Amino acid sequence: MLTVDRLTVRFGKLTALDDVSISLPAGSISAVLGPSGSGKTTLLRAIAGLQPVTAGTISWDGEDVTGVPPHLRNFGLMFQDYALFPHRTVAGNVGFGLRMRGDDAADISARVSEVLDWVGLDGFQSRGIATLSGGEQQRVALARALAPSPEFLMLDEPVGSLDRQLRTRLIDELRSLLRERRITALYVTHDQDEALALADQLIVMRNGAIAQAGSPTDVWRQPRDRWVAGFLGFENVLDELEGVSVGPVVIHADAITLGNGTRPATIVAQRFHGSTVAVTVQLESGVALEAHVRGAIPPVGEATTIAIDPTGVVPLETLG
Amino acid sequence: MDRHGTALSARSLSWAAVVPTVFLAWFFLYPVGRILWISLSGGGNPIDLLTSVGLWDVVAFTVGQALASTMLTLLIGLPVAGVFARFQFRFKRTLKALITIPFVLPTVVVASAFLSLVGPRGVVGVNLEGTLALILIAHVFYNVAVVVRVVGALWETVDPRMEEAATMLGASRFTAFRSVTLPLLRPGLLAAASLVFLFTFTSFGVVLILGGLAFETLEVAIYNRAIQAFDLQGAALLSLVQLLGVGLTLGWYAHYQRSHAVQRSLSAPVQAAKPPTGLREQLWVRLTLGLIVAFTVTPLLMLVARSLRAGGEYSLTFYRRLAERDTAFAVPPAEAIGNSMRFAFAAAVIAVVVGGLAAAVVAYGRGPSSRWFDAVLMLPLGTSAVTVGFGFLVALDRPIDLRASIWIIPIAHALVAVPFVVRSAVPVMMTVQHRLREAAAMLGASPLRAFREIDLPLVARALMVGAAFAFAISLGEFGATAFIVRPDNPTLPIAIERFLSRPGEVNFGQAMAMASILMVITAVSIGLIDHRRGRGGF
Repeated sequence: MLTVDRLTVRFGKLTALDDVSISLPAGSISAVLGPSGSGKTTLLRAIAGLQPVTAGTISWDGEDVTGVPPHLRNFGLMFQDYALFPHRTVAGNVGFGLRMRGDDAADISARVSEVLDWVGLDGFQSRGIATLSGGEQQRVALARALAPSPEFLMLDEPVGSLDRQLRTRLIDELRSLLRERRITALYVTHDQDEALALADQLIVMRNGAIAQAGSPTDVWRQPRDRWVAGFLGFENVLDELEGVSVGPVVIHADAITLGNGTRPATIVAQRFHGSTVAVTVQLESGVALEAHVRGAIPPVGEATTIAIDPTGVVPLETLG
Repeated sequence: MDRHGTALSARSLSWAAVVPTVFLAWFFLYPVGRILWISLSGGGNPIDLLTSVGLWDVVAFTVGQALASTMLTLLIGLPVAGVFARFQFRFKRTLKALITIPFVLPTVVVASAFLSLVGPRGVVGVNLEGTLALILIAHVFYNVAVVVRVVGALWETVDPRMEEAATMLGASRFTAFRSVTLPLLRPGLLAAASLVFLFTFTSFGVVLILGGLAFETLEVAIYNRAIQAFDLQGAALLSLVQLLGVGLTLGWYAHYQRSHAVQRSLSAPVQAAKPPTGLREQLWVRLTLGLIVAFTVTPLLMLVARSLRAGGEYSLTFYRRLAERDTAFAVPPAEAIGNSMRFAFAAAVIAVVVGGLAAAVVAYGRGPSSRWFDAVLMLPLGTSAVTVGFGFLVALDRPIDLRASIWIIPIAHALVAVPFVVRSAVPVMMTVQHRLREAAAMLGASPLRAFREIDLPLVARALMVGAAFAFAISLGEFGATAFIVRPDNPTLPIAIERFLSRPGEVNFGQAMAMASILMVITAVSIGLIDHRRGRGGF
């Protein structure tokens, strides 16, 4: 288990990490989510040992590793843009960590083909890095990070530069790989779909501090405040409904149904989402709400009624 | 940027800075300071002294020929740059490499090549030696590749659809070029013009060999003052004027670059180069390429042909004669080949050690001191070879008398080459290295191990490129060597010049033979650089 306790990192006057405490249970996958500049990469680099910390501690299984240099921590890191060694072959990259700890050549070669097999690249051993496609480089980088069997693996936007289709497939593969081998992992991304698809624990960061942490379901059902709700893309954040002060609350778009309710409303816009349609309705008070509905939708301009499932109405904390 | 836990310490960097600092101070700053001191210490009014050495005529000629050469080079280079930027044709890369050859050739080779063509013993039968025209033609020959490369690179990024848009708005093709493309090419034109001006302003070998006694650039005047007339003060004063001129040119260029940083987000070279379509375009492309290739290749082919032609028939006579003892030399002239190779090797080693350490300080150091270091390292690049050689001559008798040592030659060559080594190593050290070092640390490599596994192999390739540059520079270096060479250790360029300055068919033929050898050796070492670059991706 990895524990980060009251970690603070300052660059001169700028506070990049402000009193951050998290714990990552053994075998779990945690995702750090936040806009750029929120401190997620700094957090990861501090845990890796690549970034000196101003205050606080990092410990692994109860042992303080804050002062341990990066090459002695036995943590793995998969870099954004991979940082593959251009002067070495695929095998030279994947076997690098094994060579550093002094394994003999036969063991290295066996382990290299084993991990390359995991990522579907066995047989690529002697290829040069420059000859690989983006997706192949990503897999080599993952294999390189996994080869020395790190106790703890960090991934910094590992699929960020790939196209959407490839991204979805690689995330699926990554999840099953990490799960099968029960690897404790920390995954940094700015893409909430990736984070939700992968993580047991979601850590949302803002301005160097943790805005909210919890299971993806909890964070999604119950965003803590206005900022988190906005960052996760919730449209229906309001302070009052029909002249009654309720807020601030967030109303989940799938908790609103059309045509069977008591509140009169007008349909003002529709956006096709595939299996659902995002319909914007305007209440008589002028408040606009977004509803995600299936099936036939009345055309724009039509009057209708809406019903709101009370379990989909979540109060927000007023700070933030 | 933070380099916690993965970087070399600040202390080892300060140690690394010692060698390049001592090198620069001893072999550059001290000689330049010495020149300054000599020019002021002899007494007399410097302006009167300058007038007495004929400064104003020399300056007028230096600037005048440089301006004329620059204009001519632009005029001839511009259409060629356009053809390379706008059209796709077979053997494009080869042709581009071909027209770049003159730029990398030693000045004495270029001068010899033109003498083989239009000298007193040239194949054409017209003697242009000692005419301004020949100097200008040689300068264009030398520098046209600069315009093609610098302007062409920019031209490729100018979207051809902009010119098309102008034509759709009613402009003729020429008007469209003049009012749309040309203004966008301005930064490239000015950059190329500054470089060509700088090169021709400091032209030494070409003017000394082709100009005869009639023409003196500042470089030639410094040489004549110091070596022929032994007027050190006059030469020193001229050196100062030379330094000033180079400084002004560079300063103007830097100022221009800062104040005219062009913003062109519109550039999207989708597939800007197309095969020529229609008779007119095909004719234009073929004519331009045909002329420039003929201009490039003819003198070089004639040089080789001339070296093989003795007494009206083809033979290896001149090459064989090189191995025999000659009255002009203390040693058989062929030994110059061995000398040049040994000096070039030593210069490459010195330049790589000094330049490599300097690059490490620039790349891994922090704060303004490493930026200052970077700027000071580039100073020898802006100093003329003749000034370097003159400075060595007047300064390096103390604290150790290096003038008697053969090491003085490779040191002078290395001084000229160090900026090239630094320039090829710093980007590699700066960009990839840090992240890769972190990656190595995460895989269990200690900082020292990471340096050995990552930095060394990667930087070694860039340093090899720098070494090959240094080797090629040293092979062809003439201006500085002319001041410090000793009769028993001539280099190839020095031997060629000595043969050329003496009368007779045999001397001329031997000069041609040596120039051919030097051309081949230089071409091979430059070819190796290109080869390594292509593979290494630098």
